[in-house]
Amino acid sequence: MRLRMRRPQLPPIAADLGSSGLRFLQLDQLGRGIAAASEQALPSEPFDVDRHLAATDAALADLSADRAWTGRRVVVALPAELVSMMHLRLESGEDLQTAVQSRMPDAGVDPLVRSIDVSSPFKSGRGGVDVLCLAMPRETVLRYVGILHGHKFDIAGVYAPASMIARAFQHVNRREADVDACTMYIDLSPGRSTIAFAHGPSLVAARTTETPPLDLSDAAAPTVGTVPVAAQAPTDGDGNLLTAINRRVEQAAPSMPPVRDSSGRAEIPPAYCDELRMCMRHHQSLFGETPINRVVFTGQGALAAGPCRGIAQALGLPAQVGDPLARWDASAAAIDCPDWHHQLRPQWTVAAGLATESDEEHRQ
Amino acid sequence: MKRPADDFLPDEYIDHRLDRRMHVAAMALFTVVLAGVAVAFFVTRSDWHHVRDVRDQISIRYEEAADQVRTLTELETRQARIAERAELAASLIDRLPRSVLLAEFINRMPPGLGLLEFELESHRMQTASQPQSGPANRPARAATASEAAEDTRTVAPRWRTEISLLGFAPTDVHVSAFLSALNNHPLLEDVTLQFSEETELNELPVRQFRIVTSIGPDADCRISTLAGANSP
Repeated sequence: MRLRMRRPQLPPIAADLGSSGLRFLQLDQLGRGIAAASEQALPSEPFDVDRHLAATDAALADLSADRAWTGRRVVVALPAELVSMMHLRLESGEDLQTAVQSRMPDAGVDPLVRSIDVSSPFKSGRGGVDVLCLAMPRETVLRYVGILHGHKFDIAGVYAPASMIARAFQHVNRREADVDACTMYIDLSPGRSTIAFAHGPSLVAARTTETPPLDLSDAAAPTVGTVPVAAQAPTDGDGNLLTAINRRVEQAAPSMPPVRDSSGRAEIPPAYCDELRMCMRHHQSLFGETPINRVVFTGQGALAAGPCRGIAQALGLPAQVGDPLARWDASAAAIDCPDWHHQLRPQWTVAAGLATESDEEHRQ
Repeated sequence: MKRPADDFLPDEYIDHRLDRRMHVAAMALFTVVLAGVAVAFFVTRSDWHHVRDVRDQISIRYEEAADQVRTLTELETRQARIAERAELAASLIDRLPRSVLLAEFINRMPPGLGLLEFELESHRMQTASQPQSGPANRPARAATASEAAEDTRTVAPRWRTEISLLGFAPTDVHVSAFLSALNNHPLLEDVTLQFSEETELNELPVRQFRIVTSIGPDADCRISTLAGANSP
C-alpha cells in the first residue's frame, strides 16, 4: 500500500463569478466526478462592479475557510457584463490592438484583448484573418485578480463566459464531423444574455445582449452550498421531467433534455427574438457553409421551460436545455443538496466549462 | 506552458507570479547556500577543535617526553659523576705495584743477563685544558673565583712512568732477547735500546746496555697479569 504524504492533488477550482450568482466547482482527481460544489446566489439587480467585487470577496473568504476544497489554484470566469465581443477582420499587417481601439469603442481604454482565429477554410483565398475579439477592461480584471490573490489563490486562468459555454459541451462535440455542425448557445442569465455559436467544440462567434424580463415562474432555481436547496427538477408545467434525446442512440439522455413543443408558450419580447435572429444572420453571413443545427439553452433562465420553448419556436430551430454537469458523477460530492445530481443544472454551464478547462490543465 | 488564446490572465500577474516563484527559488537557493556555509563553518570548526585537541595531546606527550629526556639526562649526568668518582677512587689504588713491575722485568731477563741500575720515575700528567671559545689569538686568562667555585669536580691524577735499565749481558743476543721480551710486554711503551757496548765486569768481557721504556697512564698491572694468565 502506498503511503501518501500529501493530499491528492485535484484540478483547480472552477469559479464562475457570474452576475446572477457565484458558483464554484471542483472535480475529483480523475476528472470523473465532482468533488465539491458551492453556489451563492446574488440579488437580481443591475450589475455593479464594486458590489460584485464585495460579494466575490466574501464568497472567496468562505471558500478559503471551507475544507471541502482542495488546493489554492483557481480558474475564473468573470461576469458577462465585463466582456465585449466582436468579430473583426484583420487585414494583412493590421494590428489587433489598433483594430480593437478603432472598431470596438465600448472596450474602453487599454483593454485586455484576446482573439480567437475563426478564419473559415472556405474563405482563405480572400486574404486577411477573421478573429473573434474578446475584450475586458484591464483595470477591472486586475481588481478581480487582486481579490483572488489577496485570498492567496493561485490563478490558473481568467476566461470570458462565452468561451466556457462552448467548452462545457465539448464532450458532446468531440467527433471530427461535429465541426461541420453549428450549435447556438443562448445563456439566459438574468440581466445579460450571452449568445455563442460554436462549430463543434470551437467558439466562432459570440455576443452579449440584454436579457428581457422573462417569465421564470417555473424555474426551480436549485442551489447548493450556502443557500438551502429546494430540490426539485424543473417541469414543463404538466409535471413531466425535461428529457433529452441522445444523438447517437436516439433515446433519452440526462445531459441535454429537449424543450418539448407544447401549448404552454411564454411571451418572448419580439425585440429579443429579433436580436437572436440578427445574431443568426450574422453567423450565416460569416459562416454560410455551416448551418445552425440546434439551440442549447443555458444559464439560470434555461430552467424556465416556457421562455425556452418560446424562443425555440421563434427561431424555428430544435432546442435543448443543456445540463453540462450530467457527465460527472456528483453522488460523492460534498454538496448540501441530497438529489442535486438528479436535477437540471444549466446555470452551471460556465462553471462546467471552467472545470473542463481546469481538468485539461491539470492533466497537462 | 502554452496558454489558451482566450485566457484573460493579465501579463502583469503572470510576470508577478514568475517573479515571485523566482524569488522563492532564489531564497530557497540562498537558504540552501547559507545552510551549506553554516554547516561547512561548523564542520570546519569541529575539525579545528579536533586539530586543537590533537595538538594539545601532542604537546602533553612532548612535555612528558621532555620530562623523560630530562630525567634521562640527569641519570646520564649522575652516571658520569659516579663514573668519575669511581675513577677517582680507582686512582687511589696503585695499579702498578713496584714489586710486580720489577718481577715483570726479572721474569723476562734471559739467563746470564743482569741489571746494574733500575730507575723508575713517575711524572704527573697535566689534564687537558678547556677549549677556548674566543679568538685563537686572544690571551688565555685564569679562571675567575666564581668559575673556579663552579668547577668543583676533582680530576683523578694521571701518571706516566719512565723506566731506565742499565744492565749487562754476555752477548748482544741476550740483550736482543731481553729487548724483544720487553717489546712484547703489554704495559711497556717505547722500549728503546739506548746503547750496548763492550765493557769488563769483574774482568770478564760483557755487553753493557741501557734500555729506556715508559708505562702509559692507563696501564694496569692487574689487567696485564690477567691477560698473561689467560694467554697460552
